[in-house]
Amino acid sequence: MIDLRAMKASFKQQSIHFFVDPQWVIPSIIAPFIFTTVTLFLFRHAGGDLLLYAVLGGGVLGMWGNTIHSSSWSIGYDRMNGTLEAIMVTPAPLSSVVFGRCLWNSFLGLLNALAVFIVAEFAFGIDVTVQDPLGFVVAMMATLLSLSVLGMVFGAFYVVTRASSAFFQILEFPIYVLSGAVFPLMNLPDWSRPFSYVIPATWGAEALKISTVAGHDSMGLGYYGALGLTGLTTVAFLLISLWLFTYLEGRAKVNGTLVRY
Amino acid sequence: MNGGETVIVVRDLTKVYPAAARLFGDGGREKLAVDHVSFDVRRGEIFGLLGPNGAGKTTTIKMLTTLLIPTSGSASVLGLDAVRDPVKLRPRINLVSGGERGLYFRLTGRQNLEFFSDMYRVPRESKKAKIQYLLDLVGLTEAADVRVEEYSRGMKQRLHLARGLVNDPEVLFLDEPTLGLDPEISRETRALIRRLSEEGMTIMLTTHYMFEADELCDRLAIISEGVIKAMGSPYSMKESVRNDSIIEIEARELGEAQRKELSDLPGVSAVSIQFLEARQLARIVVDDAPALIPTVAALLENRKVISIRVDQPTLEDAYIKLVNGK
Amino acid sequence: MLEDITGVKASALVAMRSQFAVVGPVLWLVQILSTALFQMWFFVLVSDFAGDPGATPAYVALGNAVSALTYSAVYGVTMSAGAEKHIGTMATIMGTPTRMFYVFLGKGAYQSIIGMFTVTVSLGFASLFFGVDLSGANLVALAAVLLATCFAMVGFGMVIGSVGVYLRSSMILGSIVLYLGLLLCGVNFPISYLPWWLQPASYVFPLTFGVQAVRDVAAGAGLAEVAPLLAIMLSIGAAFFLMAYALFNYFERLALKRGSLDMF
Ligand SMILES: Nc1ncnc2c1ncn2[C@@H]1O[C@H](COP(=O)(O)OP(=O)(O)OP(=O)(O)O)[C@@H](O)[C@H]1O
Ligand SMILES: [Mg+2]
Repeated sequence: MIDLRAMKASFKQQSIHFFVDPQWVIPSIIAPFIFTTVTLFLFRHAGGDLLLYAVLGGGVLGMWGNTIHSSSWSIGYDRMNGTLEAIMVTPAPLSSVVFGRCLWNSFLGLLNALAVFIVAEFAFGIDVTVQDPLGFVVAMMATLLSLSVLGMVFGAFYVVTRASSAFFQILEFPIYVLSGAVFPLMNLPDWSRPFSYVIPATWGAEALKISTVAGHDSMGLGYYGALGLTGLTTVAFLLISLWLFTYLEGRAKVNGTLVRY
Repeated sequence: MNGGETVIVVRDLTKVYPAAARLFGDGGREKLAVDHVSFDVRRGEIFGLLGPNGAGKTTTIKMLTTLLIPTSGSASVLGLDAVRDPVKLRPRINLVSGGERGLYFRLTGRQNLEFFSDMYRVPRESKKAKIQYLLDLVGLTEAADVRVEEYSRGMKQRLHLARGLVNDPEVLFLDEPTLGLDPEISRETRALIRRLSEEGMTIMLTTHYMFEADELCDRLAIISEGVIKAMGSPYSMKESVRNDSIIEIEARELGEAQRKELSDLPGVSAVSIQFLEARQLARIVVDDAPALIPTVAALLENRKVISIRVDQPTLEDAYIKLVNGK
Repeated sequence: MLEDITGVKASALVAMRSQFAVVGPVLWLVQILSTALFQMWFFVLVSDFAGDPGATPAYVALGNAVSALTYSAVYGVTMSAGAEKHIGTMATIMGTPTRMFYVFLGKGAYQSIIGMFTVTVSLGFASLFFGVDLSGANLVALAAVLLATCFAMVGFGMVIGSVGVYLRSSMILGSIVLYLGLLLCGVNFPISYLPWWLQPASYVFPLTFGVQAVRDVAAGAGLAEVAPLLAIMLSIGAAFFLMAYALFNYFERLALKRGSLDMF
């Protein structure tokens, strides 16, 4: 089901694309970056842990912004280039190709997070010290992985239609809201809770906050609880995406929609 | 050539594209693109699919290369069913489509080949040497480390071919391999295709060009509106017009109306009009030229006829007769 | 001139059709509206949690409603240059006698209509759900202010779009401008919160004046009171259009020289 060599080659391919023209990362960095900066302005009066809370949330938003823009566009790019069929005739599973690229994109998402931390530290003078560095790194990696997998789910739809981009741009902002990254989930209306709970970023952000902010555990999960839920939602989305690829590839082969742009 | 093992078996292959399912807006209409097509291709052969735009050539090739699921009928390549066994089949075949798309523009030629070699799990030990060999083969050694966006059309097309060879396919599918190439590069491409065939590769290609089919193919099928109109060697196709002759007319005011009128004459089996700058060239396939010339001349009296002459039929005329004939 | 106007109309039609060919008119509206509304909701939630009296949820909601205009007026116009290169039609247009400026004018006209629709729905939403009080607003003044804002912003979008004739970075510039507005234009918090050296930058964006004018109208100001702001927007709008005209000609020539028309 997962072809490691194809994944590696796609990871590398995506990185070459990035280094040839790195400016393209800007559109995916800019929204979450500015959102976080605005948030920090609004939190000026609050101070202390709340600010740190906003910074961490902003980091997660940043990684999410990158996932939604780059990963879901992964196959869209092939569609535009006319390379989708060239990939499809190879024995490599399309899902592995997309997975490899999504991993690179999430990896770049670290840049987004870094940009947020730098602004927080230097422009706002917020002291970003981490309570549990090892836990922080692990939570960060788990969040990145979970977002790559979410990117794959979105990516799969491009096999069928180019209109997917519109759908996922529609999803970008709801997820900023629903992940509760920069404000407590409790502030959201009840009906939206279930949506928040299935998004891995919700749990990733929680694990990050627990490992950074002393005494933070708003949902009473503990670090391992939050990390476990990040892992669980990630596996669930991985299975969903593998199934989606199989299903949607089959449909595209009946409708002949692989080449249309 | 004859008696070789059969590597492609196509039986009653049919494709109806479903009406486009759109979330919003109206969908299109169902489209019968390939209609009960059957043929065989033997190992080492160059088999051509020749037909006008929209005839169903690409659709047929896609069904054989596991990219499209037929509505009915069967297609098997190398003894493997293209619908049920794509995983076993894909490593042993490859597809090259003509045109400029289908490459990663921001990558260099070499990086493109590396990527696709990995997709085919080309053994790591031989990957590098293999890529260099292919670059040499298609004459891109010097441009190997230049980004594809800076390639000319001909260079892109040659890189396409190299990409199609990374996995040493036993059967190579070529969809209009000389699309948009200048005569010189086209000739080189055809030479390369012939060389691959001589080395034992089975090749199935599509083309619009009669002379290309004539020059390359051991056998060809003429397809129009999804139906195979004729099949055989280029020689046997020419045979089908052996007893016909051609009236060629050069004039200044020929159009679709005249084509229809001429076609309707008794004794005429097909008419084609080529539109040149400020004049037209009509070729009329007839059974008895001398007898028909007066009728034709009378019909075209006010059409500024420049010359009328009688010619021998060519493969082109056979094609016109098979595709447009009555 | 007459041919130019025909070009404007044709390109507005093409802008509409090409957009709809990809996503369909309904999906496009859903996209633009959902983005506007969720963005508003996001900042309202943040402001609610932060509890800053200078930037209440209603303050934030109104600012975001007006800034919804940016999506089509600035971003939409800018992006179409990039999209044009994408599909490779830029060179084709350049080959026609219609000047690039007029082609973009057509796109601007089309995006203005979408923009006015979005901002109206957003304001309605803000007053329904997020406590923005428009009951005392003079509707004529409100309409005048929104139209002037839209005019100035399309001009701004065209200035940025002109870069796209030459560089592939116009899409990037477009998205930077799209979000920078949220930071610099008094949308989410008063401009005075910004460091002093950043504040002059706010006044480059027509959105800054637009948001201020709508806030004034919502607080009961009539046409006469917002007249100065209207005048500012109309004049910077006109200046942007003139600048865009010059830039388009300049970049058009530059692109032809460098052969970067269809480089994407
Ligand atoms: N994905 C698709 N969906 C619906 N109809 C299609 C699709 N692809 C092709 N068709 C239709 O099927 C018919 C056959 O198309 P096909 O591409 O196979 O022709 P072709 O012989 O390759 O033509 P050309 O020489 O122009 O490449 C055409 O009428 C075309 O419009
Ligand atoms: Mg074709």
